Amino acid sequence: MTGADPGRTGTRSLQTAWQALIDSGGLIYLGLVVLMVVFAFASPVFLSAENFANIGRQTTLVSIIAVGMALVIISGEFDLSVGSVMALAGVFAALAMKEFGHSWMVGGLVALATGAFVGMVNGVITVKLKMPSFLITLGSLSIARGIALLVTGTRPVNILSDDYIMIFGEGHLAGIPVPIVWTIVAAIGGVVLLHFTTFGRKIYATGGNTTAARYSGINTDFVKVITLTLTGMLAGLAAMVLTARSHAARPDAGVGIELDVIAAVILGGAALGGGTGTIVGALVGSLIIGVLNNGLNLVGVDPSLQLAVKGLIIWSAIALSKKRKR
Amino acid sequence: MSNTQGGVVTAERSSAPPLIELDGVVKRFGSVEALRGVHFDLLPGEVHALLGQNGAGKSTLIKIFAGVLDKDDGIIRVEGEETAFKSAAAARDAGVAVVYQELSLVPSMRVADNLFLAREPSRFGLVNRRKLVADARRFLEEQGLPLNPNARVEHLPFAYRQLTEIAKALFGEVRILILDEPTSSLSRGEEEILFDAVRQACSRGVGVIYVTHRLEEVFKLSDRVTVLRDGANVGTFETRDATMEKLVSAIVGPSHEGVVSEHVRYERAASGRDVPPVVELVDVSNDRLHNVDLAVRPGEVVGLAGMTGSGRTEILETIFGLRKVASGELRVSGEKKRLARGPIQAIELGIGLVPEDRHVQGLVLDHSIERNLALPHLDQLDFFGLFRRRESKTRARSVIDALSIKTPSSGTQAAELSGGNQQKVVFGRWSDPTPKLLLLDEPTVGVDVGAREQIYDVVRRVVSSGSAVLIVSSDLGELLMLTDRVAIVADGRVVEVLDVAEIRNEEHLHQIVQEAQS
Repeated sequence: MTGADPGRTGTRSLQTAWQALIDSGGLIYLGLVVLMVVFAFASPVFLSAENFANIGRQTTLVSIIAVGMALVIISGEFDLSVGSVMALAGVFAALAMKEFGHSWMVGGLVALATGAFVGMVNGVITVKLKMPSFLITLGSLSIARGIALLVTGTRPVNILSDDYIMIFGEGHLAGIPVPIVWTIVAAIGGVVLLHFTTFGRKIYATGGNTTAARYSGINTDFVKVITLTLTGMLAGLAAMVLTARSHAARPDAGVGIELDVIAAVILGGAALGGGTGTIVGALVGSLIIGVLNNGLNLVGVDPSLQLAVKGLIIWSAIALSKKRKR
Repeated sequence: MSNTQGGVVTAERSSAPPLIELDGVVKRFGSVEALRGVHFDLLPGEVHALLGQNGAGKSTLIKIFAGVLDKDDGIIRVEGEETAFKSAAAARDAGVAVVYQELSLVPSMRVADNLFLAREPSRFGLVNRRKLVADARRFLEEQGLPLNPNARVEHLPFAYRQLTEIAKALFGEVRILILDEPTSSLSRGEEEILFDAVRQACSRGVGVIYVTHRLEEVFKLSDRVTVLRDGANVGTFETRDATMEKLVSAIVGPSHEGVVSEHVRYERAASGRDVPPVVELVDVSNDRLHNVDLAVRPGEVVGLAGMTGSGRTEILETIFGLRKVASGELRVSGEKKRLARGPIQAIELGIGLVPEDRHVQGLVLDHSIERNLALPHLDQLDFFGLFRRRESKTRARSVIDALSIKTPSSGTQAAELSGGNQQKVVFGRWSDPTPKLLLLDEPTVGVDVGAREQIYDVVRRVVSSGSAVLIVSSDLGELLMLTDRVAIVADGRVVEVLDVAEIRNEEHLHQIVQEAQS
């Protein structure tokens, strides 16, 4: 068969379009739309406003932490400790409020400071020991959880501050539930930092090629400490949202959330080696995971099977990102 | 000692047919002929040195021997029989083993494990560790290699790692051993360990092709020498009949006579003899340098000439704050500096570096040209924390124009550019503002002729603006063309500093560098 075969050229242009979609990282948006269409057909309640508010609420924790995790992964590092740090920050905040007259400000500050402190320790140890942060944060995952369990005697700590509960958990701002407001705040902060500041450039360069960044006069150690500190702080913010919503700080909160967070960032197009990725991508990744959880629930898929399906989705996202032209 | 051995071997040599013989081998890359009808033969038990400048065709020839590249024309005979060298496996079957510069060992494994790597199953079924070590020990003893099969490779000194590499290469039916600059990372004492191993192999009838830049080694070790230039044979000599002068002129060739007269003309403001040097090293020592004295004045171009591993790069790294000054003083514009904050401080002081390996040390390949160009200037492009994106784009465009970097836009990934254009991006970083001192490490390696001219142009502009340049280059002709003075570096020391006028030609400089080694 020669030359002008319309079927063939059709396939080819489809292929180029597909490749362009993969290269631009736009596949994730398509993935989100496809998922939503599928669930819309499968479940009558999926498209309701109430359900969307549900999804929003369910994804806030992962989304907030994913903003920080995106920074960390783009700078070429990793943080496995976020779930434990979230629990520890919540516990410390609740205990501090008990001590200091149930002030919401004390609670908020203690949560952020606890998260930031653990993140900074992660960062400093990582750069000083020149060890992979993957391993260092594996250690702090355990340490933070242990301390949280120890100081509470493994029991939840109740939160009695109504202000705290309203400001971080149950209130509304202009009709939007506050957890979503805080997610937006974190997201805007992340977008500005990563895409509009000089420091954002340093984060990308550090993850893209640490040696070249160092040779260009960038303090790559400082960059890594800061991204890990910020992630810890955002885990603290997530802790505030979580504890305010449940009126209590549980020392066993957030077990395994790091996996969802990392999956969201990778789904969102960040390269595991660092140097590429966006905040918006990470948020869309988090939404995909949220929609998936929600939709599979609505459709009535066995929760155990849900886990396996999530794993399959992550695999396919990684397989597709491999096809990306560099 | 090598002479007597050489003599004995010669007696055997004359009767035996060559192990391998190349006849009229041609290799083209696009329109460029890398090899233009090369002849080469290797006799059993001889060390045949292969010499030539960078780009003379040595690497291409080795790759053809290794079966990595296929010749476009010509004949290869193995023990008299014509053989196709179509793949690495075919070359291996013909008994060829190559030891490249980058070692291919697994550092965390033992010597024995490395020897048997990927060969355990086919020979022994399940891995029998005791037998593996015993066999390795027997093999090493047979070969006369002083290696402990139980030693972990990462704990071995560099010379012994290289021995392990050679042992690995000799494993199996190897008749032809090719060593590609095996001593470039070795210290003086360590070389002898390697030479002994080579002599051992030869005494067992193995033929060795020895690629090197150090002529001294040629005289110590080899029986014959073949010199390549511009992809063709200049000649094959018996080492006994060769002299250093003869070899150097064969390597450099006649076309480079009078190179000094082509020296780049600089427009300099005023002679800078009375101003303090931009950078001065006084008796500087650290892990790689010993008592280095060197000064670079404003408006001056100084070259560093020496072998790979001689300490040339380390001098640049020390000035750029990448290596600590253990003793002695580093002065920048007359003031003593410790550069405790590393490159950040060096850049603040007006020092720029174009590093040797642009892929590893220079560029973030996945990022755009604009991002790469902005890297050392992020603090200048900062507006209360915010990045001045438009300003950065404008700058990028002007650099792209000034250096005529061939790219569709400033947003193109650095990885998509050709080598020459990538190097221009690395240079472009230091075009605005011009540093007081520009350090260049092998600035034109892997760069096409056009880009090379533009890079020379940058040097010219830097000098005319009153700044200074310190260049490391293996291309000695380039040093003669660009520099005012040349410092000869060997074993981490500056052996001497010569005015370019004192150097007759490239050949002369070659000889000086060679002599500095001993």
